[in-house]
Amino acid sequence: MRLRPMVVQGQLKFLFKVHSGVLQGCPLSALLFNFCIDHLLRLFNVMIVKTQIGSVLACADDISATLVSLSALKSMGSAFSLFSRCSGLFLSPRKCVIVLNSVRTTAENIAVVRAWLRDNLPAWANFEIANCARYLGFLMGPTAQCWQWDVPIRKFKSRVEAIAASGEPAAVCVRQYLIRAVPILSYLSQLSLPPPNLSQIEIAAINRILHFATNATSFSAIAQINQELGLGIRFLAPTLKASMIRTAWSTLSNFTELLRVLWAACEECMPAVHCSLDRLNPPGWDSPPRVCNLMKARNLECVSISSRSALQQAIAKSMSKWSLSIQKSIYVSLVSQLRQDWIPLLGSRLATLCEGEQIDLHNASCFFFFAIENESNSIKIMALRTLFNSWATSRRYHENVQLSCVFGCGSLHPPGRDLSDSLVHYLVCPLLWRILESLLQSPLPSRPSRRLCLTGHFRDVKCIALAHSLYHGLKLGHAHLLRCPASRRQLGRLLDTAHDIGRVIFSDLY
Amino acid sequence: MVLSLGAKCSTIFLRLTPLVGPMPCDACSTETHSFEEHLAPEAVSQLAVLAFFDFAAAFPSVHHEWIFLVLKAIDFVNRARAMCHEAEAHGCARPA
Repeated sequence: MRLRPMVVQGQLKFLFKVHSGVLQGCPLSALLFNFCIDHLLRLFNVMIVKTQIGSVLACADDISATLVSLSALKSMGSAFSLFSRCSGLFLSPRKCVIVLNSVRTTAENIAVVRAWLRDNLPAWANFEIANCARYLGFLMGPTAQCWQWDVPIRKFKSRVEAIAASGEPAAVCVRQYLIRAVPILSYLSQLSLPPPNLSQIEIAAINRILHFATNATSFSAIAQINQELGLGIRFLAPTLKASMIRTAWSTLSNFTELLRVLWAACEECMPAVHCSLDRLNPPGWDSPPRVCNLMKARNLECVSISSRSALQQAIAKSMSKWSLSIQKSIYVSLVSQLRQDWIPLLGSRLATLCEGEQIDLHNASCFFFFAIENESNSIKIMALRTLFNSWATSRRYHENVQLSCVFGCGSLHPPGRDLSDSLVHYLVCPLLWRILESLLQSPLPSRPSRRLCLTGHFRDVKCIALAHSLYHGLKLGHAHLLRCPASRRQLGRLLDTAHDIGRVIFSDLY
Repeated sequence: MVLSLGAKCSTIFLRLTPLVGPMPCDACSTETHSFEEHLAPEAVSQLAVLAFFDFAAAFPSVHHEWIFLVLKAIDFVNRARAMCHEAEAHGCARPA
C-alpha cells in the first residue's frame, strides 16, 4: 500500500491510500503482472483446454479464446468472475468482442446471441459481436482479410501527412518515413498478404514526403533515382515480402506442424479440397488460414519465378553465415530485381519544361545524375522537384486566381510571353536569373535544358536549388526557410544574401 | 463439418458448418455469401466463436494484496535469493 500525497501551500498533505496497481515504467511491473495473471491462465488450462472445449492465448493483458461452442463461455465467465474477486482485474465489456465464425452478424443474429448472453452471462451482454476483431494488431475472423489493411493503411497515410507537414529537410523526412511509417505495414505483413493497390499508395506517400507533385513520378523512376542518388528510400513491396519470408523461414518456422494438422482435417471434413493452399478456408471465410500464407512465403510463391533462385541463394547465404540478417538479404535481392527506368518520365517532363529543344534523354539523364551525385540530399531533392515540375506554383495547384510572376518581371519581358506563376516561366525568368547571377557572381546559361544541368555544359546544380529556395521563400511567405540553419548549411551564405536582396527588391511582398 | 485446429499440446474442434441451410458450393468457398444468414435461437449455444477479452485499466488495477499473495505462493523471495546465493565469478588472465 502506498500513500498518495499532494503539495498544499508548500506542505505534503495526505490524499488517499493506493491499494492497487504496478508502478508505471518500472521494469519489474510486467513481471509482477505476468505472475498475477498466470493463475487465471492456469484456470483456463484446466477448465477449457484440458476439457477440449477450446484453446486460450494470452499476451500480457490481451486474452483470446477459440471455443467450440458459445456455451463454453460460461466456463470462462466463472473463471473471470473468480479471478476478478481475487485480483481486482475486471473486464471492460465495451472492449471485449465475440466473433461469430459461421454466421453473418446481421441485426437478427446479433440479437439472438445477445439474448443468449443476457440469459446465461448477464455481465457480458454488452460485449461487441462481430465477424472479425483485432488481436495484437491482426484482425481475426471470417471477414478479417476484407478489413485487415484498412486501419494500418489509414495510420500509414496519417503518419506520412505528419512527416510531410513537419517541414523538415528531405533527408530527415525520408528517415522519419522509414522509422515511423514503413514499420506500421511491415508488422502486419508478417502474416497477412498486402492489398494489390499498395504500390499506388506507396508512390503517393513518397511523392508527398519529398514534396513532389501528386502524379509527378512513377515507381520505376523513383526506383532508379533512389539507386543512382542513394536517397535511402526503402520500398514497401519488397520490404513486406521480405518480412513475410523472414517470418516463414526464421521467426515462426515451426508452423508446418499446424498446417499439416489443418490440411488433414480439411481433407477429411471438407468435400472437395484439391490439395491447394488457397482452398483451406472454411465456407464463408474470406481468406485462407495464415499458415497457408506462411507456407507460400516459405516456398517463395509470393515472388516471380525468375527471381526465386537468386532469393534462395540469398536466404541460404544469410542462414549459413549470419553475416546479413535474412530479411535484409531478401530485401536486397528483391530490390535488385525492381524495374528501374526513369527515361520515359524524364522525356515527358522535358517536353513541358524545355519545349522546342532537342535533347538526347539518355545523355541528359547521365549529365543530370553526374551534376548532383556529390551534392547533399536536400539539393538533390530540390533539383528533382524542379525537374518534376513540383514547385508550389499557382498553375501547378490550379488555383482559382492565377498569379503572375512573383518576382514581378513583367516590364523586362517581351510582350506576348507567358508571365504566369509557373515553373516553365521561372526557368527563363530574366529577373530571377539575374539575381542568381549576382549571387553566384558568374554568368549562367540561357537555355532551360542547360540551366537544369542536362547538357554537360553547366554542372552547378546549386543555382537550381537556390532558385527553388528563393521562389518558395517569396511565394509562400516563408522567409524563415531562408534563415533555417539546415538550409544555410547546404547553401552556405548564398541564401542569406539572397534573402537580403529579396527583402530589398520585393519589399512589397513582405 | 468439424475442423480441427491442432497445436502440439492440444487439439480442439470447431464446428464451422452453417448450422442451418445447405452446404455452400465449394467453388464459392472464398466468398462471404456462403455465410449462414439466419441463426436459429435453439442452435445458438452450439455456435463456434472466437472471444477477445480486454481488462479495464489492467496494470493499475491489480490488488497489492493479490500481488503479495502470488509472490508468497510462488516463493518468489527465496527463488530470487537462490539465483544469487553463493554466486562466484571465475576468470583467467589473458595470454600475453
